[in-house]
Amino acid sequence: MKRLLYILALLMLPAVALSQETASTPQRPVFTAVEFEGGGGRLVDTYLSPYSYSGWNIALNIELMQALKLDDYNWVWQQLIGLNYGSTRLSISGAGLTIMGGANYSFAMMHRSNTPIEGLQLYYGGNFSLLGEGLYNYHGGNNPATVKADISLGLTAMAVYNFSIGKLPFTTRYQLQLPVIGVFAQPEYGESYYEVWLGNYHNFLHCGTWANRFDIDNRITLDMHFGSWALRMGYHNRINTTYENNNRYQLVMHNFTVGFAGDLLSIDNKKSNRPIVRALYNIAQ
Amino acid sequence: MKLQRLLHIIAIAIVAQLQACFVNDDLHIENDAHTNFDALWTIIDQHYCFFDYKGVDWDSVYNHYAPRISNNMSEQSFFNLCGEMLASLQDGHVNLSSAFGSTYYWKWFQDYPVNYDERIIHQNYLGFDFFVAGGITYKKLRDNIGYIYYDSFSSSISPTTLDYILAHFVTCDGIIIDVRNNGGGSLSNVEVIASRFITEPTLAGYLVHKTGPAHNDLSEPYPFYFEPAQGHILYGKPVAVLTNRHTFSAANNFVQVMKSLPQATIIGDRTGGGSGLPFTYNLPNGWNIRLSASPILDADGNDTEWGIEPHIKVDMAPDAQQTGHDAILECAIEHLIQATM
Repeated sequence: MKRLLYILALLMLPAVALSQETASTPQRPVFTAVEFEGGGGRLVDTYLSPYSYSGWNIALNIELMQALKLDDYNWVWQQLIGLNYGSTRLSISGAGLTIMGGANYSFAMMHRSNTPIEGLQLYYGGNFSLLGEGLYNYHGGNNPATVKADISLGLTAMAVYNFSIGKLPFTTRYQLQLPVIGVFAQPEYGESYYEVWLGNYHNFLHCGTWANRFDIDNRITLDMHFGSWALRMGYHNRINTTYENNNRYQLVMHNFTVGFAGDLLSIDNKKSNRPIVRALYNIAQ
Repeated sequence: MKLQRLLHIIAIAIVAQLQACFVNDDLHIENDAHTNFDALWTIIDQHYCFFDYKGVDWDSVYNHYAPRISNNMSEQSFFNLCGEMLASLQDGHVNLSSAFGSTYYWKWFQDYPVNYDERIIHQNYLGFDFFVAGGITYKKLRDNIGYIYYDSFSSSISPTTLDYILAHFVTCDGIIIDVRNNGGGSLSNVEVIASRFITEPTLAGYLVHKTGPAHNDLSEPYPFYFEPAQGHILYGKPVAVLTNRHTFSAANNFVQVMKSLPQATIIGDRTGGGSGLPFTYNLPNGWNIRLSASPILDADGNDTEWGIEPHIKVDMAPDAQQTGHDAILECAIEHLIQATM
């Protein structure tokens, strides 16, 4: 737990570093959301098996966002940290077993702009993402597992719409993350990780472009505001594909999300009349 | 509300589009005998590494067996027929496994002398008094010769255990490493043991792997080296490695490495081979097919799939059980005595 808090503190360094401000500058709380996901998925990794596997998966995500002083506070940074685990079986027969698990991280810088439509804001920018996952097939042999390691730069965009039903404020959001270029690992067609371990890295790391790797991440969330926090419900779709060395990897996840959101750094308006600039939406204090 | 509806429609359209991107190429496959037979044949066709080396015409194998497949045949009959087809690869690393059994190809050893009798060794050479540690049986024999029996490279050996064993033999004039009936296991254990008999980085062999689905899509051989076990006991005196036809897979690889060392002599029968690193794949019905996927060549670049010839060829006498005499072990003892004179 201490380690988790330490990591969270490190992730918030940008917020701390930029917080040395005068009494007249706006406060910029770090918007934080914690999400629990559960759903189904389907994967093919021909390095392990030529057939597809279907099953369930769960995930835990943390989202951090903060407005930046750039361009009159119209830039925000966003960090997404996720852990996931899944268990799948052969789609055709329900036999076999492949499990997967891993972690992902992304850091995005987005510009936000208002639209003529009241309540609708658009965010767009670039992001840097890291993915580290492993797949393990219980069939044994010298190819029971494979590693998915990916570093990429990409585009991200977000549409945020604030509205109310009665007195209850809502924020609905759609976010797209689209890696464009990066590096990923994939051994050759029938190359064992033992050979890689012995030092044969030839053709192991690949420049990932849309010619050989296409990933996309879609999130739709609905935040229902209850005072200083919000209940989040949503849907998360993730697709990862690589085509390299005659090996094909495809993963599709459809997860439903439930979580909560609010300001992690507390705002004390009683002691300060500084204005507040939030990254995503206004929350009552 | 119009905007809300529009957003919903856009979201649904995006998800539907993305779903369509995913190649669901096996969604409509039937889990029947024909499908599984084709899957089995295709996986081997695309991943097996010894077609050219063994001169196997895999297309003609398909033409021979495919007409005999029927969706009405029993699971057991189908399994047996698949096993019969797989035997045409003449490979001890090729197995089809199901919940009710596995197919095996035994001819790589069953047509040859057994050349090993544990009872004779335990009774007449070890006197039922020996140490066992980390899967290794060991004892000092007569004439100041150390004896190690290692029955499986799946049994992990810690460096500490190996230090104790070699310390036990430090005053011996030579060591016998008996890997008869050793059916293989982990290649990392090969290095753990072999690294005690080298004093400098030693070329252990070459790895080759498939680079694509065609039979001749093979990589350039990649040389790999074993390093001496720094900080641990190394043994530089003569070593005899005992082999029989049941010395297979990782044990074959061990013999391959030891044969290249100047102080080592291979004594016994030709090994069983099995030089292909096996990969395993699921069939649609959940059965597993294991196959040789990645050849390991010796330090001279030769394939040892068919086995390794010993330096000294010796067979145990057919009546060894009666005489209690292990001719291979006796030969090794005499050889080490001669080597130290």
